[in-house]
Amino acid sequence: MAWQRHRCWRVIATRIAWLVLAAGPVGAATRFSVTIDPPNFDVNESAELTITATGDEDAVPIIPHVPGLVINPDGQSSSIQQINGTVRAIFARTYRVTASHEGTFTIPPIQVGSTTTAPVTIHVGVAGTGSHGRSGGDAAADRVPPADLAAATRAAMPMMKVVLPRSRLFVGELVPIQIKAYFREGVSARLEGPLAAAGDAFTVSGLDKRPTQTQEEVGTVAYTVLTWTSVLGALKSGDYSVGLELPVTLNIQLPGTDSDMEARLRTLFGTSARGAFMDDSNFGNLFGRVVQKTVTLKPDATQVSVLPLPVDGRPADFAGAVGQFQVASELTPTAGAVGDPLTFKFTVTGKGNLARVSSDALRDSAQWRVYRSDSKVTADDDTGLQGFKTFTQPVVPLQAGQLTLPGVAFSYFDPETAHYVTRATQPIRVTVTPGAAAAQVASSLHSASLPAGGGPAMEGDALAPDVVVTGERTATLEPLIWRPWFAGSVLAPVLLMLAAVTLIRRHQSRSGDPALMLHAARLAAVKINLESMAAALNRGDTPAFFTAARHALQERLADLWQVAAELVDAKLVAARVPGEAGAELQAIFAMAEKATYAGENPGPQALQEWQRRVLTQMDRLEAIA
Amino acid sequence: MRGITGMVLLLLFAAWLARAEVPSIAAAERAAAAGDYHTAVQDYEQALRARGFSAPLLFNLGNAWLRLGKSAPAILAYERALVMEPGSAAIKANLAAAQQRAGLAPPVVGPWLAAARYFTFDTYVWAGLAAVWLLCLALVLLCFSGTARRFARPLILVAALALCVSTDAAALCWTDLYRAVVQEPTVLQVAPAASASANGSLRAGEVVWIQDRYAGYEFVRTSDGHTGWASAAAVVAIRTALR
Repeated sequence: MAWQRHRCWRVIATRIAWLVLAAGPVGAATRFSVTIDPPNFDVNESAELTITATGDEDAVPIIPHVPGLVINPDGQSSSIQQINGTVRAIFARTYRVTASHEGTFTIPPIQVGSTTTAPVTIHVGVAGTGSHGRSGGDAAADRVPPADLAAATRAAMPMMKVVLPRSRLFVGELVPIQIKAYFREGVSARLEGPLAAAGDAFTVSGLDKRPTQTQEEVGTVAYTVLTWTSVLGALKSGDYSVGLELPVTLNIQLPGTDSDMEARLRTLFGTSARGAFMDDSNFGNLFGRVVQKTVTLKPDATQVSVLPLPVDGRPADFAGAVGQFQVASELTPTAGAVGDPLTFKFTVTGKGNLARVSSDALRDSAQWRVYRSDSKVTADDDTGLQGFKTFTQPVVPLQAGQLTLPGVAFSYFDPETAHYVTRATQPIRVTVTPGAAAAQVASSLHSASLPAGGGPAMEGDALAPDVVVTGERTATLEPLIWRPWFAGSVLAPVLLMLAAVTLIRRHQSRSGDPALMLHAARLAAVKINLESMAAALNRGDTPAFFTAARHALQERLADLWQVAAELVDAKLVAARVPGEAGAELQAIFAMAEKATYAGENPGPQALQEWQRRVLTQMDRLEAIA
Repeated sequence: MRGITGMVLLLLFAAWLARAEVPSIAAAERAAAAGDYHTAVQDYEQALRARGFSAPLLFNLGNAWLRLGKSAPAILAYERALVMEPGSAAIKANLAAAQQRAGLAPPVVGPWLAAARYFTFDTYVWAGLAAVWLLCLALVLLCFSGTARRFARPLILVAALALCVSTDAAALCWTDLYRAVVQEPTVLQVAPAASASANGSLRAGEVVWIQDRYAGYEFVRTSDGHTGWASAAAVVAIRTALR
């Protein structure tokens, strides 16, 4: 119930904040704010991050990357607000925030437009521990006498123990540590946060990992045991106890607070008032017999003596490594030319504070040019106590011949023997040939160097000398694909190809169609007959004129009606072409009959008139037919 | 008529004046020969702005910068020269010298990328474009019969092969398009804002890859995989146009 009250207050507070936000900047410039709800959540939960712009302008926020958090857009909304006659827009963008592990995260200022928001801090708890800060059962606790509550709390109180391999350590030494939290069987508990180290004498790493859960009996009491396996590091000399803190909320069963409801249930279900389901803490909580109490669990005092590292016998190159280590080195490739980069790897393997392992590895010499080394730690176990650290260093031979890459020394303090140890790798012999690149440089410069007398003397600085400035010039080094015309140059051949293929295919399909071929042949026949008609007119050959005229009309009408040309005669025309046009065509056909078979000759002037009539009908045939 | 003649003369005079203002490359070369590298750098840069990029010009500019002790602009000039002449041993040698003077490790380039860098990215683009045209021509020829059709099949094979090779090579060199050279030591930030916290640093002369840009900031990736926002003033893209 209490957490519901908190949530209610949070909602009210959010709304008040909205009102304040909305009422504040009347007439002012756009304001951006950021809220997160809830600010505390578990790993398997999420929160809502809202960025609100109140004003006349909106801008897309630049969400920064926060290691361990995933922030994804979840939506946006806008609304119009009118206050005292001033109309403003409110833009809200929401993001869903999830975490990959527990801890405290800070989302840095988010840039929105030209301004940035305030940073936001989020606390993420272990999955399933409900780190919302909820608490319950206060009402029940109020009804319980303090003495009973104290006794019940003492009985339910868990305990914490620290298991160390030994109680004497050296500064910088890392040792495995087991932290065990014992919870009495039947007591319901919830972790309210991660196990954390307290004090400045030690570091305890790996506490963010999930503990293992086992069952143990201590005496006659059964316990549920949570065990964290991690690594303890000693930071300073002296006698200290290991400080650890674990916030826990306990559901404490109170004696003698049966409610009326429970009594009624006892009557209903029989004499066994403490049946199986009645032992469930949730039911107990329902009847008000369980109180929740949040406590910070601390381990029993575990004294550890931390000794300083001895000064006597400390090697000059000792850099703080404490543990047991071995070293190795390799060079790849094992041969090369002058100027070719080779890769030197120096590996320190063992158990101890690998993070403190450092090495200058190689240094510049007359034979070798050495670059800055990069290092990488690889852990062999979950705690990171055992593993290896590799230093990778590019080296370039400066001379040809049989060169020697010197061995690398590494010193550490062995806490088992309480002595310093120095280990070194063997020198590596390398065969270096004269650089092929140098010969290429010389030859390329020979052809491109400045004319005699004009070139600067540059032998001293080992640079290839200046060259004569010739050759192509360009106003841009931007790649072709970024230039506007490039897309067109790719699309153009494709479009041209498609157009060409379409045209060719169409032409080919048309040329192979019998109907189209017949159509073309008939049009050609019409054209030939009209030309014959004109020729017959010129030479005054009346029969030939009308024969050609009739054939032209037959071919054209046959093409339009899709019939054989010889079937087209005056009778078919009369049947298919009504009216004046049909009469005109019939007249031409009749005249052609007379001229061909009866020898009628209307004379040259009349022939010209007949030609006009034939051509007119030819032009009108499409519409007539 | 007089007016037109006057205009033409005026334009010619303006062109002569404009040309006269551009320092000749010979002057830059003379300055470099005399050891006056400040003047040489200025003259080379002005000539570059006026006449465009050329590999020899960028190479000489890089040399002048390097002799002035400025490794970062020298590396930028050499990298730009290599864009135009990727096979030049002289440019590579001086670039290596500049990187050495800047304290930068020689970049490790895989064999495939090294092979792909034998030609410029634009060469592969031109080759791919030619292959596309050839492929389209071959597809058109395929529509015909007889001799044209016989030519089409080998043409398609050649064009497809050329397209594959050029596309693969261009894809290998793709990230080179976004390379940039850090001109001054600068910090990497988690967000593109002055108030954002730092999450790394960049060294002068270091080559980075630009992945995004926003409000005067470049989101860059370093050769060892770190990312962050850096001021655009400190990071200059290699493949850019004259402003």
